[in-house]
Amino acid sequence: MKISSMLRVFLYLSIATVTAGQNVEAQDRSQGRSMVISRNGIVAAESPLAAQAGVRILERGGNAVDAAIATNAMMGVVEPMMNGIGGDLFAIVYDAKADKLYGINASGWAPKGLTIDYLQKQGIRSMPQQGVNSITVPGAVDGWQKLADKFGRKKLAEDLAAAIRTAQDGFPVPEWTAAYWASEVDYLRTDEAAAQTYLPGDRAPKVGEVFRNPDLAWSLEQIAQHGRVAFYKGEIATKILESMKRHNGPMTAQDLAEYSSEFVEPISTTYRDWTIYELPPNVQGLAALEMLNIMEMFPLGQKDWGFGSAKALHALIEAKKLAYADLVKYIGDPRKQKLPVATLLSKEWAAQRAKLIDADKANCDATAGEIPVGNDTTYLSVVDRDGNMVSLIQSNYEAFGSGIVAAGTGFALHDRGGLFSMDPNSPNALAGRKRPLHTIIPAFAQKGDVRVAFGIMGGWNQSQAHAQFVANLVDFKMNIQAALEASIRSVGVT
Amino acid sequence: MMENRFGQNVRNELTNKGHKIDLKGSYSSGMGGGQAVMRDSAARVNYGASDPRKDGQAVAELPFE
Repeated sequence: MKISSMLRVFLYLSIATVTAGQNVEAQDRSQGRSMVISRNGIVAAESPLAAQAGVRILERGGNAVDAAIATNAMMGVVEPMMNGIGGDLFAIVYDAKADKLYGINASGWAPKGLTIDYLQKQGIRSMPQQGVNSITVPGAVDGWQKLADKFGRKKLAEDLAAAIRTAQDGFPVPEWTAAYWASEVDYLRTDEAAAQTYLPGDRAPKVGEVFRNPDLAWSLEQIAQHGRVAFYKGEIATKILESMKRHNGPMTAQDLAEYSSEFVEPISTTYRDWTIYELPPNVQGLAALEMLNIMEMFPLGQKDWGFGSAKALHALIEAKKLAYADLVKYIGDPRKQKLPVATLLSKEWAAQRAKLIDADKANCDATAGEIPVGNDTTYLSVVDRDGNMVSLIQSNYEAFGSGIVAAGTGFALHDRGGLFSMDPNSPNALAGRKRPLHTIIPAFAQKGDVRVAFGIMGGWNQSQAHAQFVANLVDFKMNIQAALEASIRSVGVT
Repeated sequence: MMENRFGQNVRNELTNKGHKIDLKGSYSSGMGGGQAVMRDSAARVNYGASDPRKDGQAVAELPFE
């Protein structure tokens, strides 16, 4: 062997040894890819185009809120079954300069005329999960406007520009989205405008086929020019109301015009040395916090426990059942009734509930009752170079929402009303101008100087997914990428 | 519902406790999909992560045009 090649082998071995010595885990890890790490802003989204739309806004001087709006608008173009301006929005914003967390609840209310009595007179006995009687006022656009007005550095027109261009010019449909789209063909055919918008050539676009939505480009352009007014009072409102008339729906011009989203104070609990934040009802986030309070009673990170151990999984599963049972029993729209939020969030309550967990036996009685399982949502998070962070979630509820597109608008109206109960004794009973118990939740976590904006779309699964993510981070010492990728178990909610 | 990356032994133990398991693929979209960003404000460094159960990714900005 020549000296030079011996030297090369020696150098190779030294480098290998040093690398392995520095970080053994990096050589034998159970995560599919690395975290993205930067001194500048980062956008994480369900579409590379959407993440890039947000990044472009950051590069042009926008902040995390501007980028979140740009990313969300693009998601509505490229993943139209999951989200869009026909749906609701929630977000948690961390303002770095003020060192303060804000929450926004942009979930829409039921039309004044959509009541239990109104449905019963039509012979309807349980909440419709599709069609015109499942439609509540979409809150997303008012949410964008309020976020942009309070925090944004850019005009809505600039935030929406990339989405408008992409809707107009088209984009090649990605893998997961194409599969989802294909499974909704029959549903889309139930509404003429929906089929016209989403089934070019009377079929779903395949992977890599370019899909265009000029009607959606028109709607987004209206919002770019006129802001929220376009949607709730202007030309988009006119088209929505025309569609209501055609489908004989109860929504009126006043239901749209008088709607307003609201800033809310996030709720929180401690989980070991972290603080975890969720939004207050009408969303399910409280269940995630109650579940964490119960989980805290178990030494999940200790030897014999640990990620993927039967003991830890059993504790998580049982905690989930108890927290969700409370969710369904006690939670609805806080504007319409007093809710026992403080009690459910207390460590004392969790200690009581934890006593019901049998280490050896699954509890099959603590069911959450019958709740529908729609899960068609997008989640995104943004951090900018100044440390502002946004945790944002936005949804049609079920795929393509109600299945109804108002002709000429290019977006599906959501079916969020499907989550109301028709049991008049439920805190979540249907009433006009009331908001339903809501699945979609953004989350946030903090320990000292470290903050995490996170969310995991997926219907009622979200609270238990949040709690698992937090356990992965806190108890099982995973980084955020490994914590997202880790195997999931999900307990049915019916 | 459980993804099949959980081992057979663990699944057996859970079944013995009375849990009913519906086994899914390695990265099941039935579990939803998440995104996350993290900020270490002392170090002024940002981190991003994206779920392989989805079409997306985390993207960082360049600090200049």
